[in-house]
Amino acid sequence: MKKKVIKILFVSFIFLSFVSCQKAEEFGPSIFDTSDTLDVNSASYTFDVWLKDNYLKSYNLDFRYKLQDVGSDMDYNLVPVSFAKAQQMAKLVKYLWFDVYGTIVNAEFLKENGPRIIHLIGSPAYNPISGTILLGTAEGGIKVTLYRCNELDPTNVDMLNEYYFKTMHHEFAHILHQKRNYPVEFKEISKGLYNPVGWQNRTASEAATLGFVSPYGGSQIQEDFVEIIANYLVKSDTDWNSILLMASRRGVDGYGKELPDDGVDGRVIILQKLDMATKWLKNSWNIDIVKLRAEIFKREANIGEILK
Amino acid sequence: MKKTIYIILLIVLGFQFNSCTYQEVDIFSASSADRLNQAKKDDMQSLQSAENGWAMEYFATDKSAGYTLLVKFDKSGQAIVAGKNELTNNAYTSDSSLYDMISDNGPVLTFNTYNKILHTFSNPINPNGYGLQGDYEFVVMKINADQIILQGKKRGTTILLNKIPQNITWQNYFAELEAMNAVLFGNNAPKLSMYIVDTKYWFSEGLSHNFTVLKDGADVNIAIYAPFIVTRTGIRFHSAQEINGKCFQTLTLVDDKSSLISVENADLKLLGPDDLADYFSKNINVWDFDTTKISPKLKITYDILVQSCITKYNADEVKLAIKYSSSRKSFELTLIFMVKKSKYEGNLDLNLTVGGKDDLSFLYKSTSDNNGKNFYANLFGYKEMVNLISTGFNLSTTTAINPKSIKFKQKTDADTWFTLNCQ
Repeated sequence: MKKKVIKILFVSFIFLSFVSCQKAEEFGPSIFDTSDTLDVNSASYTFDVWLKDNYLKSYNLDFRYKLQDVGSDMDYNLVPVSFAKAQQMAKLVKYLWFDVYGTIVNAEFLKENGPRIIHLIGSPAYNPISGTILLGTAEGGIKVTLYRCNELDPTNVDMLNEYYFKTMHHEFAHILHQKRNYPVEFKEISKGLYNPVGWQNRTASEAATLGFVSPYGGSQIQEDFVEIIANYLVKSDTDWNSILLMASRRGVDGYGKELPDDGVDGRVIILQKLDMATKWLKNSWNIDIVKLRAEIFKREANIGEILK
Repeated sequence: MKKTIYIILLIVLGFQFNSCTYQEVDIFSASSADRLNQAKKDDMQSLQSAENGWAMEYFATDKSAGYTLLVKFDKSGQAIVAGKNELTNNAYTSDSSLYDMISDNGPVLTFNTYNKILHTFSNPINPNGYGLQGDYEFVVMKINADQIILQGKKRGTTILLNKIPQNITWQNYFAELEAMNAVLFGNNAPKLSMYIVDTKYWFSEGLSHNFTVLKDGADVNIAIYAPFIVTRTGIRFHSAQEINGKCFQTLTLVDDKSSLISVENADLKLLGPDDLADYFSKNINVWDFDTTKISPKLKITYDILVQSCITKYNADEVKLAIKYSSSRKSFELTLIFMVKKSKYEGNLDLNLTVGGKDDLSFLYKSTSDNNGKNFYANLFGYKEMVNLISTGFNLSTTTAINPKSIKFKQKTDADTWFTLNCQ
């Protein structure tokens, strides 16, 4: 009798469990609602429609330019991006990031692997105690936040690269290595040279001689990995070679005084890291970083046309 | 026995499943989500209902001065914000941006794209990566016909939206605020005082819109700070001030401009100096003769002096003033004029004596600097002017809360008077 009752109870629970699962959801082409819910009388209607067509439908991405505190890091004092700068940034991001991958890899690549949300912030995120500012963040491969957008100057390509597009490639490289790990050998190259809390005290020269393309690259292994990719993608040949030249010389401090020999050939190390990143991008993602870089440079020459 | 236990177990199990079939009776007529959506719609309509917009009494934090911003919300989701303050270089400036009513601890008004007037208070750039730390998202606390009470989401400051009357332009609204500010705190205004249950408290640094409040005679280290905003009718503190058991927050300038009186407690008044003679004698500012407010008798002498300056020195912009000179350690009768972009100044030393409340006399000491000596010897009307001033006066003002303009009437001749304006 006891066994019989237990069986009945067991069957009942199983049945109830199935009932609760009956309404299985069907996945659509986008995780966002792409139905037409935009208000035609809204002041931002035209831009919102453009975003919907060019990001939501094309890349399954919610391009957020209207700041909400809850969608940002509440520890920082921040301000929103201006409507005008948001429009410029949206066009530039598509042209110099998304469409680049669309051309070099394939149209579906960023739809599948890109972030689901891009969030624009008008101001930098200051860390007043350390004297640093945050230019961008990538959260779990889902969301990329770009700061300092109110200072966007589309006529200044160097500034665009330094403050925005290097950040975008940096954050996107984070997303990629969070999905497919970077080579374990990479972790060994600069082992013991990373400085997570005092990286900002190193000059660019000192960082380069240690084998980092930027001081921030010397903060942590994963930052080093993505800084190699991002800097290589946006820096001109002249600028890239300047880093290599700097890396091959003795480092100097903030006052121009020569530092003691660190015993590292920074140039060799940087090139070794670039080689690893190049192979990883090719083997793991079928991305040719040289072609990608060439496409970016080609497009940078046409920025003025895009913003007309 | 076991069979009985199993039956009971099954019955109990049955009751448990049944217990889920009952529904709670709804207290509200709609779901919380529907009610929140309705509240957002209602709040949005209220914001948009003000045809001439709202005067926003903005406090970045509860420790900083208040600023008036004028805001109009249109139905397309665009807000125009105007300001005229030191952050806009005191020029009337406006900017438009987007706004929305979002769900977050109830309806929250957010200015979600950058507005250079409003977001100045939130921008971390200046100073030092912290900024002024103001909010741009506001929880809607209460809506009345002509006023909406908001609360800054991060800082918790209370921010009022007061409906702007139809019959006033935004520029004129700011002009009224500037006029009120000038009456209360312009021209090197004195510190104010308030008697609270027979104890005198000093309210200084009014021009900063953040009073330093100190009990008379107390050590400055125990001062408290009371940020406020200038309104069309007076001032309003960010939060209610409770001092010596009495509460006050909103104060209105009385018609004769003698005091700011508390709306909450009419016994509480912020007052200017209670003795003009004492105030003037301790004042180190420059006081200019007002040539439009001078008795005819004195004006004749004054005009002779000015004409003499023009004739003798080809002078321009002739001014007469009384000031205290710390280098000469004396009050001075100062004559200033320009000759071909060069400024000339001569000073005669005056002795100042306070005779009683609002009672003061000057006496020429017969000492001066070199220019003063030459002017006194060579300019027509100067000796007569000095003689007319070297006597006793009764002092009065039309703005007792801030006596930036004081009338000096000769005690022995009511037809001889002049007015000095504080620079």
